[in-house]
Amino acid sequence: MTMVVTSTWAKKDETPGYDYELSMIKAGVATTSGFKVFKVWSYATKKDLLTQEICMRNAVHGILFKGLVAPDEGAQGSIAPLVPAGYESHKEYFDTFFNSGEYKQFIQVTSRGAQGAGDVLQLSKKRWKVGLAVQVNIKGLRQRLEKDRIIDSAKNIFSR
Amino acid sequence: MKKLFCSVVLCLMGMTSFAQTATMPTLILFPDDRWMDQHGFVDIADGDGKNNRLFRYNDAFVENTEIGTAITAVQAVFEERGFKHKDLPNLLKQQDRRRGMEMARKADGKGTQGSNMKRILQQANPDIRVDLFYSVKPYGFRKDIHFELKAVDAYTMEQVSSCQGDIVGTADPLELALRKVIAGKSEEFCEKMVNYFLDLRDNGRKVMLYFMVPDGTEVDLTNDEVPGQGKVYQDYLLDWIQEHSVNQSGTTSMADATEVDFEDVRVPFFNDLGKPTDTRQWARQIATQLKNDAGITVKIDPDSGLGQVTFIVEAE
Repeated sequence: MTMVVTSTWAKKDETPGYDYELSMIKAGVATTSGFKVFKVWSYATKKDLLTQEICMRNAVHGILFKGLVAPDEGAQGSIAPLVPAGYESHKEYFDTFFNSGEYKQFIQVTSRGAQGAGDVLQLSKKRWKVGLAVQVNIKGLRQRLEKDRIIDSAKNIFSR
Repeated sequence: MKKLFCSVVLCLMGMTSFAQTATMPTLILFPDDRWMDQHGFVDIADGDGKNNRLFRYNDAFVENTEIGTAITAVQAVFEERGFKHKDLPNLLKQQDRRRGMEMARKADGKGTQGSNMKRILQQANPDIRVDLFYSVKPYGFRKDIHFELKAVDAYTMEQVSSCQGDIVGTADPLELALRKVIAGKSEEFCEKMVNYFLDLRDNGRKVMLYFMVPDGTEVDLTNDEVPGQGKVYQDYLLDWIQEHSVNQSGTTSMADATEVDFEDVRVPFFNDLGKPTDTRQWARQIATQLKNDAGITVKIDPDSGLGQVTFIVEAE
């Protein structure tokens, strides 16, 4: 029994932190606003820790708090962070949002999660980098945050 | 008694549960003047030695399908983000119906009927005008596309938001490429608009106030004192404006005997009771105060909008 608990604790400790970067995919341009296709590069000490779930969690976290910069050329535009005030501004809300897996409603992998040869890289002995192309429903995510009054919509800016 | 108490509680709950909503700024989307010019939808009319450009928006929407697609794509984004906007093609149709006989007599945009854009702006009375521009450079079966979107406050002429983008060497059909670039670029454009709206909410709507004395009214705004107040009209008005605006804002931008203009006046969205108020309601208080203090009748020009109020000083 003790062993199981220890092992559970060990697993929890190994959950990678929010160590990632986002990059726009030039070809992934949608004609419908409110959706973005981009690549999330996640980092960890072990390759096995960088599961699809962790990569998707990082992608949603990036859209919420860091934003995504687009290249100068091309149809893709940059996205400012949806919650510029940051995670700590509504810590309890976002703890639940990520821990319960609610964020998965707003993201899906593209090309069935297929990864190319250059998508799994060992940078050093204890540093792995894994890339995953994802599609985030920014419109749905924003509407959810507006409904929960985490951010202001154009409409509720003028309500009190 | 118990019933009465319950009714009162329910009434109070009902009153507080309904959110108070102030008037939201309205947008209208135009093809940019450069686009109209480059596509030949402009007539030059001689007006007192000056060349007046009269844009034929109706013809642009009928003869060029791409601009319609581009406008619709931008408007879809506005709808998605909850911005209140007016549809230019529909306004043009409405205008056509209203001016049916007149339009039949004169060719669209020609003659001395004045600027089409000015008439549309008067009819739609938007707070923010958004201009859309794109240009295409084809080579072989590929093309480069440049795209710009710019939002300007219709009253203060302050730039509210903008975005631009270039697609190099696309083989997509033009309409598809335009939809892609608009969908892709609109996020940052809308974000700036929302930030502008947040600034309006927190610091008040920026408005301009004009006080005008028509011919035949014996009031000198810069030299005459307001009866019983010990101040000339110009100073009296500025004091009142700064006292009642957000963060004591407002400066005099122009002053002479017959006209005094104030700019950067920030009008609150909600009054002291927490109820939504608009510029006209706020401005009406000045007229009431002047009437009470000095017996001066000041009327508000009916063409005044959310961002600009013109007062006509009538008589002592």
